[in-house]
Amino acid sequence: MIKEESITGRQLFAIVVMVQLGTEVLSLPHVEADVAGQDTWIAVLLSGLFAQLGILLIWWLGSRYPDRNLYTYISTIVGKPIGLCMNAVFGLYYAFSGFLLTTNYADVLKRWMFVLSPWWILLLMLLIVCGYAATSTLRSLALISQTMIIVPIVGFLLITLSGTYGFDAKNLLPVLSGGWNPVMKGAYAAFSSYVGYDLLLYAYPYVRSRSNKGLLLWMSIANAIAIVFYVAVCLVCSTMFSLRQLTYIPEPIVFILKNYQLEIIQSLDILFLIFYACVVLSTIYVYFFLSSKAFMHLRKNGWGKQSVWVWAIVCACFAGGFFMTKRSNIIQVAALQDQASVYLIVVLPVILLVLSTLQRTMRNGV
Amino acid sequence: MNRDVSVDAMEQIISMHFSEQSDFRARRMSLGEKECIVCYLDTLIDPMHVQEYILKPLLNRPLDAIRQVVSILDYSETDQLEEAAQAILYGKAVLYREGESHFYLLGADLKKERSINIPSNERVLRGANEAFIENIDTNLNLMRKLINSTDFIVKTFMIGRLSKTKVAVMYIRSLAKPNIIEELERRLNSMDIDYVEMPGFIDEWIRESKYSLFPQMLITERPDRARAYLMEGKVVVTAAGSPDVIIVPVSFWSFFQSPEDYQNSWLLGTIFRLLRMICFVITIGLPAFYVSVSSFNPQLLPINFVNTLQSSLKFVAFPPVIEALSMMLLLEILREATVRLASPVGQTIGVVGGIVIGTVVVQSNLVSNTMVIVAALTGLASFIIPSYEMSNAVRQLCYPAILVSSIIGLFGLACFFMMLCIHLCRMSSMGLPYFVPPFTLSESKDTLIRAPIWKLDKRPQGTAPNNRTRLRNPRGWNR
Amino acid sequence: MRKALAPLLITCLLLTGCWDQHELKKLLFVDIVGIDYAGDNRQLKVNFVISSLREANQGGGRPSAISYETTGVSLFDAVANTNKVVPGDLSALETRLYLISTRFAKDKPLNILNASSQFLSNPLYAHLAVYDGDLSELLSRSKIKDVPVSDLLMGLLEGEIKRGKIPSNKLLHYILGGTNFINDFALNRFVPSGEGARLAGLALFSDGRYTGTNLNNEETQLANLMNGAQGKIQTIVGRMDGSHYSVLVQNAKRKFRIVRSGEGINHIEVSLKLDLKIVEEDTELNKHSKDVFKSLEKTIEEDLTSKAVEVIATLQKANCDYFQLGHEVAAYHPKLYGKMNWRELYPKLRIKPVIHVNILNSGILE
Repeated sequence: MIKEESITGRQLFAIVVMVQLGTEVLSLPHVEADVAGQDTWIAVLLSGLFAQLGILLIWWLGSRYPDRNLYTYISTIVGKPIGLCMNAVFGLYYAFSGFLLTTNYADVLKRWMFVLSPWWILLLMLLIVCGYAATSTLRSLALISQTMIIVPIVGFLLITLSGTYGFDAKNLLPVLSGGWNPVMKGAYAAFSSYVGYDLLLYAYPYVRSRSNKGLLLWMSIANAIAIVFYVAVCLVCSTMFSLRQLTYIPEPIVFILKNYQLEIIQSLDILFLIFYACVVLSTIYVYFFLSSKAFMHLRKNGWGKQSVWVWAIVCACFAGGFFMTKRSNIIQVAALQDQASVYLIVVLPVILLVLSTLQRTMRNGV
Repeated sequence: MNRDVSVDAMEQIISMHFSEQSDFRARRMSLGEKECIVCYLDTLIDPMHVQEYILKPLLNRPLDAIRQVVSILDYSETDQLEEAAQAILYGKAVLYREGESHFYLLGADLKKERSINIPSNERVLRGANEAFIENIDTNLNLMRKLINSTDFIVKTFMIGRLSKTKVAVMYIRSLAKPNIIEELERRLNSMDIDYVEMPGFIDEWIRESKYSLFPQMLITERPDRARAYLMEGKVVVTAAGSPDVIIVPVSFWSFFQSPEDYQNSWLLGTIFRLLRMICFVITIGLPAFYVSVSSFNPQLLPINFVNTLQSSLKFVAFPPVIEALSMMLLLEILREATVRLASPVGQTIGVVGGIVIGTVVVQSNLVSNTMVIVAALTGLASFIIPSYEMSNAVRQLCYPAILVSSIIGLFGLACFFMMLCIHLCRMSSMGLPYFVPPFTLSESKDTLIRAPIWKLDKRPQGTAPNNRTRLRNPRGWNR
Repeated sequence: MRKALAPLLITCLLLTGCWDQHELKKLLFVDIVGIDYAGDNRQLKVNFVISSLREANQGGGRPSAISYETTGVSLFDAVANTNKVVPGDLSALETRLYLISTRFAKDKPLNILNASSQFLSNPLYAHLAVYDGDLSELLSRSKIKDVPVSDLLMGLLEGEIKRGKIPSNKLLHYILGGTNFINDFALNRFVPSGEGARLAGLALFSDGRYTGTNLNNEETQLANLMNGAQGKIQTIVGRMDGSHYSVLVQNAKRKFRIVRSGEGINHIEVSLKLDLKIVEEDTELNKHSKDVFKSLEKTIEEDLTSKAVEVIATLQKANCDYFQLGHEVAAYHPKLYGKMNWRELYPKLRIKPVIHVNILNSGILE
């Protein structure tokens, strides 16, 4: 297996939290307003609980093979040719996710702040930073995420404090006015915001923690913090805006932060948008990292160097970014990626678990 | 070597080695019936030692074995001519008596050194005021006086083909991690270089990230600082001819620690540490923030502030980028000039440069007065950092920050900070990570804040994994 | 090698020029936007008041406000037309007040104002107010009694909001469909007075249109308290038995109670609980004892209740659901709300104000 540096449970927690918090913080209330209406926060909470189930699945699968990562043990479950094929699929999926996130965030920046700057320069800046980060080891990624964790903390404080100006709880009532159906649809739409815990598929063998359960605890705490963050954001947006407004504003959080006016600084929404780049970037570089590792595992002893793969992916994303300048294209492709993520992250581990259980019983039986 | 070589022949052989040295002396004497010759470089030896402790006893007891007669501590014998010649270059006097087969190397070197002074670059208000000097033996003397324990190990190496500089590695055996010591010795032994300039050459040879702007070893001229780091399990390297010692492995936070933090109360120490961290961010980010606010995002400031800023910029000819770059460049020129000038002139030029140029450049509408404030604040903030190397590195980082934020505003600044953070997290010093974010209590006890001494009961994990307890029963009198 | 790439890239980028840069010295900060109709057609007459500080580069400074008037079909059109007349870049980054004339307000003003949300990087914390007079004439005066017109109007608004006498109307709460459940609201109203303008109560809007009905200053204060405003030592002056009294409101708490009867609503009770501080009662000084306080409380309650009844009558006549009672019904009795047509029902509804007064002390004196 290819060498990788080990990280502690706390560092795993930091990486997973930063990966789970992505651009959805900005757009989730708007998307949910069409689907779940007033019960956005219930839908988001449910979605987080489903993600917790997903974490349990992945942890169970990983504990079957405690010293190998997914790309290595998948060949033992489904056989070598399919295993290599799945590795390539994972590599492509992660690279594609990273690409989509980059174009999504560049689109947000272009609409809100940089009308005149050309598209390629935003993409270039984001991709260069991600490429530079993705060529490091897992431990360096953990250190970077640990440092950046202060950005969402400050963001969370700003958002919850702004919720005290003009908070109207009547917007949330009556609860469940449409029944459970819209809530379930909303939970499906919100699932893409919790995707990111699949880092555990790769990182399981490299985490130094006292017990197996300790690892699960750290992952659950990370998921819980993501749930709290998203639910708080949805609550604040639902109570401060009416449903009519939410259907028009694609990034309601930014509108809320416009209200801040202190003596020395105002219009904190610009600062928030810009420093939120750190959170988005910490998702993208983990995706590029995972993608390059998937491609490296195509051959038993590692195929090529990590830095070469990363810069190849970056160049491909930069070239592809020129075709994704229309917002409607981005939304369509994002819907495709959501479906792919459900298949690869929820359905596939279930299949693998079932197959590996069958293998075990067959081996024990024989 | 033959017993039959006569003194005349020996004199000729040795003189051939030193034929071009004008300070080479060979003194022949008759001791009893035997001839003997003393060779030395008269600029290196102390004549009093040679007269009183070599020649006088020999003349009194000419027939006894040299070993019993001569009262010099640094006594050795050798057969090899090359060793004897090398010994003369180290300041020893070489004695050869007719009929014997070896040379006697007797140490009689003259010590000419500066006296121990106050440290010139690392002043503190409270704390010891001794500094290392150029003579390596005196430096080792100072360190041994501070740590009187058998665990304190000093190992010496010879580095540099031509200069043959003596380099000493010091550590505490029960604390330091063995891999670090082995790795350091391996790197030092791999140095194949003609001469060594301490600490710069050794720093560049040993460091892991070749192209990084940030210093990767701590350089100090204070023995008390060296002792503090030795007690944490770090390794200290010193070389002859340099009053600075190198400390490895260090982390990013060591460059923001000062010995004064431990002499004041821990609250004050914490406040000053936090001040230094804030100044780190200010030095890199403030001119870039000014450029991005006045070129891209004026809506960050309330209307009164932005009106004042606008009116100060109204008649200025240059765009804010050029203002920022030129003021920071002026600051660098001023700083470099005051270092080069002799002291009375240097102080005056500093005052003149600062005050007069600052005022005149605003009145001639070349730079706005807000920019002068920003530049002054940035310069002062960078000088707060206790380590000179780190302060220089940080000040240079403000230039790319200004450039990036002039292209794309605050977003560029955020990307720049992110790149900086990534670069720091990837660096490692002797295998240990260089930058560990101080967001847990155990990490931040001595980095971001200065916890009270009775709380600092464990050594850092990375450098001293074997023996972590350094305090037992703190404040035991209060139970 | 990587370290050499970055400066090279940056130098190349510098040579191509910076795109979104707005030089600060060329920006014209619009402080007040005044919108009126030009003539009889639907063309807008927009006044931009630009404020700047002159002669401030060595300390000190002279504030000044200059007004430009243009016509156009929408806000963006007006900005484009102004840029042909005035050198510099008009920027809505620091706009503090949007003034609309009554004629404009009668005709769905919010549809035009929605365009302000598309102003890039615009902090939408500007106030919205109505002016009952010749708008362009007021704004074209650069100084009123040695104070720039922008500072005068903003100073009046901010002062009164801080004293709790008038509600704070931020633009964000009205555009894009409105934050309130029902699109009824009340905006602060300026009238011409002497050389400048003064605040004169609230202008009532029903369904986004100005109804023409107003509340005067006293009624405004009471309506503000009944709408849930906090007690900020507002002064209430009232009459009793030939003399008058002055009280300061220390705390205020408002509750709604909906009393049903069968399939409909019997009446809605708006109860307001006030903690008062008496500062002046009758022109003579009387020593206050517990009985005196009790009788005072009763007198004040009757006085305030009668005033509240008038306020509610005015609101109902204008069909303006200022207190958002409809939202209350929809939140707590959703089935009931679904069956009724609130618009028709509201003017006929019985709304009873119940005011409880609690005199805490009589200030510093006994």
